[in-house]
Amino acid sequence: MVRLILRRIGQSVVVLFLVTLMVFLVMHAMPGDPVSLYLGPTATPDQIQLYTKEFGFDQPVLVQYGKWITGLFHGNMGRSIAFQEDVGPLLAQRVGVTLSVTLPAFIIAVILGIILGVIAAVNHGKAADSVITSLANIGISVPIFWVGILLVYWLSLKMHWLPVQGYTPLSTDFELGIKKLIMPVFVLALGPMASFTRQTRSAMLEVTQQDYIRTARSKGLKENTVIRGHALRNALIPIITLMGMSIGGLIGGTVLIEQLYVIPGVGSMMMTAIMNKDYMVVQDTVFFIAAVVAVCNLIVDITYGFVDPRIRAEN
Amino acid sequence: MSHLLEVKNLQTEFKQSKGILKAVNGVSYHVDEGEIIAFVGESGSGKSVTQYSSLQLIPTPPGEITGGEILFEGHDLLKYKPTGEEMRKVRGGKIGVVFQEPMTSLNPVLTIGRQLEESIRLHLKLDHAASHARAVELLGKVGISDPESRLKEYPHEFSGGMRQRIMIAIALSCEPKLLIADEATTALDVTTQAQILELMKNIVKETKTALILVTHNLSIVARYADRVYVMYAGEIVENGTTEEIFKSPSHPYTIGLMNAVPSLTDPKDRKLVPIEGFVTNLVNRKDQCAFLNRCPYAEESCGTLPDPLLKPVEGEDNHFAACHRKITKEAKRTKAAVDSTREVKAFTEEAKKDPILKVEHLKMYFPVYGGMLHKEVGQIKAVDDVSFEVYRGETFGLVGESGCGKSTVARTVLRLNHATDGKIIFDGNDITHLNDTELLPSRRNMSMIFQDPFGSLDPRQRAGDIVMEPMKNFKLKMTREEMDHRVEELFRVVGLDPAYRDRVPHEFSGGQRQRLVIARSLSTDPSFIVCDEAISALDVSIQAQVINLLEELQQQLGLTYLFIAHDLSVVRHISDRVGVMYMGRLVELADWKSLYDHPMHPYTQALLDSVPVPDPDVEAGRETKIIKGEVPSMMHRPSGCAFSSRCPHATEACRREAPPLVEKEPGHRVACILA
Repeated sequence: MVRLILRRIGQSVVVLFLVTLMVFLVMHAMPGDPVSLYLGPTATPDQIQLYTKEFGFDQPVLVQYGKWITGLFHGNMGRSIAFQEDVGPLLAQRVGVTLSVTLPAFIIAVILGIILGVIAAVNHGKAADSVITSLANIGISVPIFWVGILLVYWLSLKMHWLPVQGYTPLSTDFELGIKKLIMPVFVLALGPMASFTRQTRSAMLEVTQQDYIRTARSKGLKENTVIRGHALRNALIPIITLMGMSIGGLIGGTVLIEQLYVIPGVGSMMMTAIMNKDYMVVQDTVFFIAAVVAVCNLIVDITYGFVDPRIRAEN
Repeated sequence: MSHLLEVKNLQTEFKQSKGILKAVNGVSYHVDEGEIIAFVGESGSGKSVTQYSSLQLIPTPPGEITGGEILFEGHDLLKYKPTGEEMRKVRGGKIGVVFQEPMTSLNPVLTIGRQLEESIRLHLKLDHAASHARAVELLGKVGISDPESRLKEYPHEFSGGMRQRIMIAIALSCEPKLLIADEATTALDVTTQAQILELMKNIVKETKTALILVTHNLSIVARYADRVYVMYAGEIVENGTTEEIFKSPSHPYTIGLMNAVPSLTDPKDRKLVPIEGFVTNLVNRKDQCAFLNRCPYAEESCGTLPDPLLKPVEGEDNHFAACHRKITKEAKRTKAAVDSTREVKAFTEEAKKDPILKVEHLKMYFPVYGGMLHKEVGQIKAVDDVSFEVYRGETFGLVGESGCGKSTVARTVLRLNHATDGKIIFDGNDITHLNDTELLPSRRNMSMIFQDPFGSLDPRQRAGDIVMEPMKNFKLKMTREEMDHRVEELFRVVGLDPAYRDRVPHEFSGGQRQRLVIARSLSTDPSFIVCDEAISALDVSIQAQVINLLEELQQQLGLTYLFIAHDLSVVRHISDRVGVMYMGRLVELADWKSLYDHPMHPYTQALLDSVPVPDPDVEAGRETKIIKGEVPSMMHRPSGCAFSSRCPHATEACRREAPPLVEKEPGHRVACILA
C-alpha cells in the first residue's frame, strides 16, 4: 500500500512538471504583450521598457521558466501585472471563495447522488426508479448556464427569494452569504449529482446480482444490512473512480458559474488573467489546479485500497 | 411422525416476455433429521430453483411462488413474508446454504471474520467476544488451520476449496437443522471435492443435521445420499432410496442419465447412450409428459395422456416414478435401438513406431514481474520437463487438477505459446522454433476444440462462416463452391442440419455449439486435434453425444486426439493411453488399463480414490481414503518431488530430488522413487 502511494506520488510529480512546461509554453506562444495590455494604448516606450524589465519579460524564455519554477519551490508565486499584487495571497483569497461554492456542491452531489442511486436500484423497475432515472438523465443533459439563468429568472426576478448574483463572505453577513451561495452551489452540483446517481444505480444493480449478495440474504440478514453492509461497499468502487474524474469537470463548471453569478473566485480571476496575458497568474493557477487534481486522484487511489482489499494486495 | 422439512406441491413461476415459465411444477419432497437426500438433474431441471423457493430466495419479480406448502418444523414458511423477521430467522438460523461458486459467493471487500461473525451475532445473539470465539471454533472445525489470524483475511487470500470450507462454516454457524448444498463441489477439483463432501457428511452424522445435496453428478449421489429425487423440467420424475434408484431405475430419464455417464468401473467396450433431443420449452407448457419428446420408450398413448403423476413402483415401498408405462432398465425401446457396446481398438507395435507427436523435455516458464520497475522477479514453471509421444490414431488423455499445466502443454504443443525449452516434433518435423509462415503447413494439420462453446464462437459470425474461416485462412486453393460444399458436408458429419448455416451461435443449444466448434476444427482436414476440456461445460446427456461423435469421427477420419480433461471417468472411457500431471510435471504415463487398474504413483492413486462411482454397491464396499491438503502454489513448489508435501509415503529422499519419469513396466512410466 505504501509503495502504491509512493509510486502514485512519483507519477504525479512527473505530470505536474509537464503541466508547468505546457502552460508556460502556451502562454508565451500566444500573441500579445502583457505590459502593453496593462499600460494601455497611451503608454510610452520608456514605460513599457521599464515594466518589461521589472517583471523580467526581457530575459530569455528559459530563464523566465527557471525563475518561475525555482520561485514555486520557495513558495514565491511571482507578481501579477494585471492585479498588481503578489500571486500567492491573491490566489489564496480567490481559492477560498471558489471552495465555498465547489466543496458544498461536491459533497451534496456525492451524498445525494449515492442516496438517489441506491433508492433507484433497490426499487428497480418501479415508479421511484423511473422518476429518479428520468431526473438524472435531465440533469446530465441540460447545460448548466441555462439552468442557472432559469433559476435566476424564477427564484430571484419572479419570486424575489434569492439575490440575483454576487458574493458576500460568510464572515461579513452569514445569512446573505448563504443566500447568495444557494443557487451557484445547486447549479454546480446538478451535473455531477446526476452522474453519481446513474453510476450508483448501475453499480448497485450489478452488485445485487452477484452471488455474495445471495449468500448474504441466505444468512437471514435484514435487507437494509444486505444493501448497506454488503452491496454498497462493492458498488462504491466505480463510484470512487467517478469522484476522481468529476473533480476536473467541477473545476470547469466553476469557471462558468463564477461568470454567471459574478463570484470573485479562481475562475473569474483566470478569465481576467488570460485576457490580459497575465503570465504569472495563469501559470500559477493552472499549476495549482493541476496539483489539486493530482492530490484528489491520490486520495481516490488510497480510498480504493481501503474499500477493496484486492487492490491492496495487488500492489 | 412429521418431517423436518416437508414441501407439498410447490409451484414457482417466472414471468417472461413470451409467457410464463413454470420452473417448479408441483414438487413435493421431505427430509428428516440426520438424513442426506439428493436432487439430481441437468441444468434447467429446476433443482436449484426448488431449493431457493423453499427459502424464499427467488428474485421477485420476475419469479413468484404461486402455490404449495413448505412445512419446516411444522410451520408453513410460505405464510411468512420473504424479507420478514420470521423468514429471516429460519434462513441462516435454521437452514444454512452452501452455494455452487466458492469464488464468487463470498463478499470480496469484507474479511471472512466479519462475514462469519455477522451471521452468528444476528441469530445466536452473542456479543463480539463470544461470536469471535465461535468463529474461531467453526473455522477450525471445517479444517482451516490457524483460524485466529485467518479471520482477518479477505476471500481472495483463500483457494477455492478453502472458500467453500468457509461457506460451510457460515452455513453451519448457527447450528442449523438443515444444510442445503447447491452444487457445492461442482467447481472444485476431485480431491478437494472429496474432502468437502466428507466434511459435510461427517458434520451431518455428528450433529444430526439434515443435508440436501443438489447435484448433476450421479456418482456423488451414489456415494453420499440416503434418498434421491430425480428432477426433469421442473418436476420430480422419480424418487426413492439410493439403492432402489440405482438398482431399478423406473423412469426413462433416470435410465437415460445412467446410460449417459461413464464410470471408473465400466467395461471398456461400453458405449455411452446419450439422451437425444432437447428439453421441451417450459414456457407455457402443455399438460403432458415433459420427457415425451426425448423418451426412447414412449408409446403413442403417452402423447394423449396428461402429465403423469408419481406412482409407487411395484414391489418397492418408497420408490415412486412419474411414467405412464412400467419401465425397467431392460425394457424394450420403442425408438430406434442403439448399440450399448463399441469396438475397442488394439494397437500394434507397428503403430507405436510412428508417433504423430513427440514432445521432448518440454519446458514452458512464464515470467513473474514485480517491483517498481516491473522487473522479472521469478518464473512460474507451468510445464517443467515433460516428455511424451502420441501415436497415430490414438486418444492420448492428459489429466490433472486445475493449474497442473495440462492446458499449457496443449497450447505449447500447438505453438500458441513459445516453448522455453525442449522439442516438439509433429509429423516428423521439429516445429519448436518455426516462424508463422513456416508453421502454416503443420498448423493446418492440427486444430483445437475448446472448453466453452459459448465463449469460443464469435457471436456475430454466422455458423457457416465460422466453419469456413479456417479454409480461407490456410489458403487451401478451394473455390467458393468447393468451400460451400465442404461446409455442408462438415455440418452433416457433426450432425447439424446444413440449413442452419446462416444462423448465429446464440440460436444454437450448448451441445449444438460444441458440434459447430468440432466442425470448425475439422474444416482443414487435420489429423491431430487437441480437445481441451471439450466436454466439461456440457450437461451429461449432451456430453455423451459429443463423446460418441468424437469417437465416430476418429474411426471415420483416422483422427488422433490429445484429450485434456479433469474428469477421470471420461478420460478412462475415451483414452487409449493416459498421462497424469501434477504441478507442471508428468508423474505417470501408461495405457488406460494399467493406469486405472494398477496406478503406481501415489498422486494417481489419490485421484482415483477421490472419484466416486455411480453405483451404491461399489461405493459401500469402498474405503474412502481422502488425500489431505491442497495443491501448493506454483510459486512455492516443494523441493524434490512436488507431491512430497501431500504424499502419505514421502521420505527424506523424496524431498531431496525430483524423481525422473522412468519405465517401470512395459509402457508404464512413473515418476516416483518408491514405485
